Amino acid sequence: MSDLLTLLPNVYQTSPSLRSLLDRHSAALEQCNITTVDLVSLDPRTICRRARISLNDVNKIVDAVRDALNAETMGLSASQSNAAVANSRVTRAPSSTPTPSAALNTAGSDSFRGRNMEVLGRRQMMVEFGDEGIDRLLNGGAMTGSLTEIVGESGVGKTQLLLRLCFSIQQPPHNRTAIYICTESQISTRRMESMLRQLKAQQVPGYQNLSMDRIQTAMCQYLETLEHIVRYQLPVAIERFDVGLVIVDSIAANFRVEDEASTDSGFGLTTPTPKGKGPGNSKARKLAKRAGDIVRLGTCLKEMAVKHNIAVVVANQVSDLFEPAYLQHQRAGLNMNTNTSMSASMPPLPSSAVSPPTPTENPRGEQIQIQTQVSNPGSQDAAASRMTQYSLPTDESMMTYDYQAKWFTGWGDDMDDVKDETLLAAMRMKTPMLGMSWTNLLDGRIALLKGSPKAVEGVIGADGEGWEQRTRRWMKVVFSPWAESAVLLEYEIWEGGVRSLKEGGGENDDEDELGEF
Amino acid sequence: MDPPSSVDYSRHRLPTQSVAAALATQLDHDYESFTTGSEALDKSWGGNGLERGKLVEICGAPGAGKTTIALQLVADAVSKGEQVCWIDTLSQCAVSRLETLLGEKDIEHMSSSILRYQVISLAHLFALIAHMTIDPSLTTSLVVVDNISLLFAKEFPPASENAASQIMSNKTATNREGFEKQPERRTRLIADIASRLQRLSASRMVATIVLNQLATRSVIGGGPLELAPFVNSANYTWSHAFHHRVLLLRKHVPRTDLETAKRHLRFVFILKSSGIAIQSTNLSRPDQFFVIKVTKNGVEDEEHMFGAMTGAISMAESFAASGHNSEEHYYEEFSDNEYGVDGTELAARAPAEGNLKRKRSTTTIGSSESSEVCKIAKENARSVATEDGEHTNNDEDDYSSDTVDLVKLPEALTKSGTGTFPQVREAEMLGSQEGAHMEVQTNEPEIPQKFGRTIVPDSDGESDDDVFF
Repeated sequence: MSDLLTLLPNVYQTSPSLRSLLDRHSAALEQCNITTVDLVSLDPRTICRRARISLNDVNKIVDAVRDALNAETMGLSASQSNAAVANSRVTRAPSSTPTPSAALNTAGSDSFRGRNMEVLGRRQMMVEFGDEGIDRLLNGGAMTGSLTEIVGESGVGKTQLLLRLCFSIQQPPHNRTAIYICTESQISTRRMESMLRQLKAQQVPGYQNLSMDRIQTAMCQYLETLEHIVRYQLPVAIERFDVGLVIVDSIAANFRVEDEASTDSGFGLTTPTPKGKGPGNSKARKLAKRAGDIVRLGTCLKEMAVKHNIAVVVANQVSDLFEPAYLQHQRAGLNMNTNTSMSASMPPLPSSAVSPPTPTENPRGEQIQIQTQVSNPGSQDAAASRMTQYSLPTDESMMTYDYQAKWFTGWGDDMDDVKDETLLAAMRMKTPMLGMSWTNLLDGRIALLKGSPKAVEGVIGADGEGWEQRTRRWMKVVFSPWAESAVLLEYEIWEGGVRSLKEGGGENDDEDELGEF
Repeated sequence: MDPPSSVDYSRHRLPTQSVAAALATQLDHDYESFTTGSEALDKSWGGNGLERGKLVEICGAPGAGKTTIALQLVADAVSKGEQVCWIDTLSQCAVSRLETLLGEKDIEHMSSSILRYQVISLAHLFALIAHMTIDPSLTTSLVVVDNISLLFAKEFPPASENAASQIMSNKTATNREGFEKQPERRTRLIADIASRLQRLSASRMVATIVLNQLATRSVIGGGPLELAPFVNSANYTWSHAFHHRVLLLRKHVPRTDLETAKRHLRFVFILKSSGIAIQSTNLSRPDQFFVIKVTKNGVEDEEHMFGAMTGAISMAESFAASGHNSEEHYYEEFSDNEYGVDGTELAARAPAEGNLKRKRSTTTIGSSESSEVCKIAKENARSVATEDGEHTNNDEDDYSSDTVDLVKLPEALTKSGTGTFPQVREAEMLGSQEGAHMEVQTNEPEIPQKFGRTIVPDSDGESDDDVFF
């Protein structure tokens, strides 16, 4: 019962009759562990029997709670109405401070008929990354009301993108402020300053008003602090500063410190089944607890995002992915095909998708060779064996995490027309931290891929800063409801942040082509 | 555990309606069905798409295309003048996406007929469904819940018993009568929400789509982590409630000359179709699938891949032998006697217009040892094929009652050039008993009619549980 006020902070205002009832009965309900969802799902008679409350009162409570819940869902409750908040945002003059809008009741006027999609469409906005190519890739940027993750190795440019968002949110049409929560190191103010200078130099209307005053930062080094901040302090700050963007950089750091042992099994992080938690299985329990912490933090961020129409963008790191057993097995098979046209340095992925660009003179032969290492050796016919690979033994592992994860982690999936070996090398054997239970909470995931500097032609070390310049980076939408996924875009980092590379880059023609929908 | 819970709706004077009456109403009204854009998917949902009154689950990992399919159905419903209700959980529907899809149909202005609710907890969803079920002014014909997993994740974070969660854990109460532990509560709520959604769709003639994510699940005895629908229950209370269940997966595709980029390809596995469980709960070997492409512009069939992927192995030999003549592979129906021992026999399969039988071909690869069988099969094939493409149906009715209608194959797909039919490797799927049948059939293809079978059990042997509800 104690979660009622968490769910409906204003329940006593919307349904005053509930107060006296709950004053009398909340202790009894609490004692027998009846939560709000139980109230609206259990048979009132069951509640009555369990909590020893009169059926009449139970019915009253249930009705009141259900109506209060529906009032919130359907935008009746003026104090909670997201639509009203949205209206106030839309109508607000660009530079004004947040004021309670008078339009509170108009949004809920179509009472109990829900809010239609157009209302959402009006309040849903995209926070731009300030670069034409990147914004096109993301179909506008990061969506408000959603939780977006930017994941990549250190030094790949995550923070650059996040800082840029902090300025974008100040521009019209948003005219809101940002909160930047650091968990690993202090916010890079110097970097931010140079970015701000660059932006102001661009003479774009609206950029002149950008200010670092409108970016709040908070440092938090412990998981408990982070959860506390997100749950209790952020909502207050959001109201006060008219926040439209919340950034957490990075989300994984605290979890990593908390449980060193479990970091190496990053990809194995799992939502445990209740059965899996046997006594004495302390590692499993630790992992389960961590997964629980992640889910609680994530749902908290999501709820905040939808309630206040905020874009929540978090950075996440990658950990090295240890090769799953079935991949090792397949690589063993692959290596046996010594005359295969694949180069020895090619990744051991179970697909011909990663075959190098050169051997196209005999695509079928190559396919057969790949196929033989994964399929039943009984087939002789070339065509038959070519087909066999569609239904090959890897099907058995299709429903495993390791197999499917490639498409939602951002690393290791099939990419068409990937011709750059550096990129291919960058695309494998990494996985975002925090695992599946975290991934499920995300609305969007953007992966930043970094080519290996060693693979870049040219002299390394001769010119001390040479390779830094030559490290190629790519951005990819792994999944998101608002942008097309799995399109690669090459970008570079400069003083003003991150910008996409145009076709002038030479051999990136294919990527630029892909960049268009 | 509590007795099956049901809120006392009588207080709200719920106008109850028998299912028979609902069916009669449905027949009277001749309701529209909603289409996804993928004919194969529509057919798997009973022919013309999603009918009103049905409850559908779409499972898939992030980015699998769940929301796109739902949005496409919404766009279709809106274009047919219906009102739609979109329930967002802890996320927001991307309106720009919806507008793109509506724009495809030149109906941007109609997005006002989409009601949208944001539920931020399971309690909200329960309350909303209870309200919608009894609201006499409800004229919605399509309801989408996107997605239900987040609500359960919020209500039951992993290890929520151990951690001091926001849900109170009153240790002194543990011995009290009626105290419910978290796993029990979760099981009850899953069953409860499923039955309420079912009730909503049935009583209000609303097509309801529930999107569900995937969760990892450790396998007893080790091995790689498996994926399973996030909201699910071991005792079928979840899956029972749904008419259709669909699982979207990704799959490695070899380098091909496909026009479609591989990133668009999704593999649709039918877990349950028209109330009949195909895979039951054992998803470790989902074999029955077709391929769709999910793009910015919605969902479409991937025709070439459909042929290639569903044809499985025995089709390969068929192609090899027949030289890929597309028109000769115009089959929509096959059943016991038409088993493909090897692909050539496929040419003898009975023709279109019926439903696909839930029968699966053997996948004996390179069945050179059964060359005699092949010969017979080839002769059959020729004899049938010579009948001006008008294939005859071999005694199909004798045992059709024993077989289970599964999906109608879309015409466009069967014409698409590769010749297609959902087909599954048999031996592994079936129990030993079924395997024995296969044995007989492969050896004596002349008399396979005698071995018409009842419903093919799933590999866990529990299909009967899930067949009807």
